[in-house]
Amino acid sequence: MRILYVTNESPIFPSGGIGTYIGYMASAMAEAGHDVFLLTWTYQPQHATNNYWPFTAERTHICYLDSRQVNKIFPQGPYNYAVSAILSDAILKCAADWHIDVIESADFLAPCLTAFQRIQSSSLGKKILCSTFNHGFIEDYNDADQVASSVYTQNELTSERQQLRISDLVLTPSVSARSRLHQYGIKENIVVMREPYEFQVLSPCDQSRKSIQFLGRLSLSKGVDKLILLANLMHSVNGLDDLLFIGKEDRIPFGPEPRSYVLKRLLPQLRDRVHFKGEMPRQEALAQLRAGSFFPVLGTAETFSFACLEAIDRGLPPVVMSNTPMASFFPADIKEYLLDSNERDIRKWQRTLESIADNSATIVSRLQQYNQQELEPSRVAQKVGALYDTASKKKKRYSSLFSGRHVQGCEVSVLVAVTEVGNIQAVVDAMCAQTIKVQNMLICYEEGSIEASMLEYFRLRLPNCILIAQPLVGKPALYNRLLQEVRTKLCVLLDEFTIISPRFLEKTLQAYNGAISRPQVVLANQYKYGAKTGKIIRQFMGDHIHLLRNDMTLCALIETEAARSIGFDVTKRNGEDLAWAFWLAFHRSGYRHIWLPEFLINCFRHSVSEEGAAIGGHVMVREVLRRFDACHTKSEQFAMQALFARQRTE
Amino acid sequence: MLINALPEEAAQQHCVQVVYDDIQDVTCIEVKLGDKRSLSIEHATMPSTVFLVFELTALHLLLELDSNVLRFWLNVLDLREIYIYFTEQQRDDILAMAAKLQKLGMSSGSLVLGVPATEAHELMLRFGLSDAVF
Repeated sequence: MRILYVTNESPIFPSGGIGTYIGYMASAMAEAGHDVFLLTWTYQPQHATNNYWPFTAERTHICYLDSRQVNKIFPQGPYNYAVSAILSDAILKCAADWHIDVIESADFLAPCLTAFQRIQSSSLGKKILCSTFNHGFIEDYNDADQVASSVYTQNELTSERQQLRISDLVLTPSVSARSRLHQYGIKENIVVMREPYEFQVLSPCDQSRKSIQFLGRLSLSKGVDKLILLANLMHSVNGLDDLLFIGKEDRIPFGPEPRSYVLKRLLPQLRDRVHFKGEMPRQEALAQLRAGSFFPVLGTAETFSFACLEAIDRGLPPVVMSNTPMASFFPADIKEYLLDSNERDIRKWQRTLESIADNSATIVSRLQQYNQQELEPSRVAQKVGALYDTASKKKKRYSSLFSGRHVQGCEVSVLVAVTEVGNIQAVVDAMCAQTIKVQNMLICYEEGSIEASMLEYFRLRLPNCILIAQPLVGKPALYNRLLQEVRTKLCVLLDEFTIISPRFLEKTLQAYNGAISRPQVVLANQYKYGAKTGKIIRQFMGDHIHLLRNDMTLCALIETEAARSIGFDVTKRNGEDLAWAFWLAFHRSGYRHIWLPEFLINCFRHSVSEEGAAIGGHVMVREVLRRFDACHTKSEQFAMQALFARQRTE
Repeated sequence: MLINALPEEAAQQHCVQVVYDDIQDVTCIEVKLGDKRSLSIEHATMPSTVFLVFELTALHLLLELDSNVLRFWLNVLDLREIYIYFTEQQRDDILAMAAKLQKLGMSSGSLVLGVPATEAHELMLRFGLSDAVF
């Protein structure tokens, strides 16, 4: 198979675990007979390299990005979404030039989000398998580091989850990492696939040392706080001779710098036995490790840990908690040496540590033997190759079965609900400019909202347009009336502020007909004018962030039956955000969407929602969640009420 | 208990097998037509690691005989999704089943390329419960 890896971290530009993974995996896949390619990016102009291992220069494409340019193209961000959009041209070109079968992207920074969406909304979806390797979400690291996220960051980090949601396959390196994905509602097409590691068994563990060594970022997410607790426990029983910290000193949100955080929490008698080595080249850092020293790996955001394996390889007994990805390095017969993550009595941890000290030689030997076999690169490559082969073939079979929809323009109705004059003339003009002739158009308007001369204009320009006058009933009732009247399979919901681009119908219909996943709706990017002008590229559909905020409009190509089954609450007629509740209900009804990442919608709204309308929108969201599966139990309903209360304070 | 919940006729015709995959740490409860019955869920600890998988014709027959059984099974297993496998020749049947399940409050069926179907040759769709009414 021809596999394109997309990641900013690789042996060419090493940084962390993802680069290590790419090195092992791509070389093992190449040895197994697959053709491997790399697309990566850097912000350093002319960042030259002569060493492309495990790839070749001819099979490597480096994108040189300039953050000022990225911000200029997408000034509103979010940055990761912007980079993904910019990279998508290069990714698709490489995929075409190199005849790629599988694109495997890292989840970190979501570089393939836009490319995957473009593939899946075009005929490329039949040819290319879109896979993401789950190395760990930034959001999980932020949580574990106990640092606050701004609204901008929250919005930005949805991109990583959205990429996983649209991937044909998600590979995750441990069962506990999969459980974490489940918590984000990411449950489909996940395969647990161990990361490869070439064991060298560099050193046995002849004796246990009264020493703790730590390799990694000095941060809470890497488990430094728990390590300090263990050090204090160990010292109070057997004594500790020294503690060694190797790695970049990160921000810890409890004081000005990490070293004082560590020292302040350690037993006073241990403080002068601590050595901070700071960041150093990997081989130099690994050379510092001494067999027999304890090696705690207690991070809570990891999905895997090469550092843990490198320590085992060098004869250090790892100290690991149960129910974490590192626990999967332990075979069933030595799981008793894991710290129980649910234990509330720290004396039991002390006993486990003593037990590790007494049996360190046996533990390390067993870990080396077990993981050497489990993670052997050729074995992992064989599994990944078989997985990709089966999935690619299966995708082609789905494609031949399901991608042949033949819905035509005559089966689409454009439905416009009008309560004020807005830009209605431009809305109608946009219909006339469509590259596919609009054959069914219904305008439902409140009496008095449109002047008689304008109605004449509509009849002149769109002779088949059906005009339905209503009393002052509000927008939800107008939409419901339109959905009752419509007779076609598909429809587009519009209002007097939403102007679609000339190719909207052509492109969305093409995507609808071609998509293998048989979606009920095709969504497109929008350009907002007015109070918050700019390109909207963030996408909250299906993510928990969509419970907090919305910027979707109702405008989309949607199956009429789906739209009708959701409908609108006619009592909400004060400018509440109807789209927010509508799309939440759509997703929770189990309908599927695809995203066409092109700017096909223009929204002109010059006023910001009034306070009452904003709170009314939140009430609607709460009601959707109560109706649907988020609130099975009373405690969940209680939590939902609390979320609503918090929203009202923002 | 799952077998006992079936109408007598269905119990005669349906075969329920449990397969545990230790690498993925998942348990597949597979329901197909046949007369063999073995059911023992030893390894499954969390609903998210249990997959209830139907062969299309077996589910069709089951729903014909008693549509409440499916709901009962999901409740017993604390699941909110089912998987259905089918062949290319059953394309129209699976689409008809999707429409039927949608009326019962389930999603319209998404493609399965990962677990539980990575090894199997069959094509498979996943249907999730769409609301609490089902």
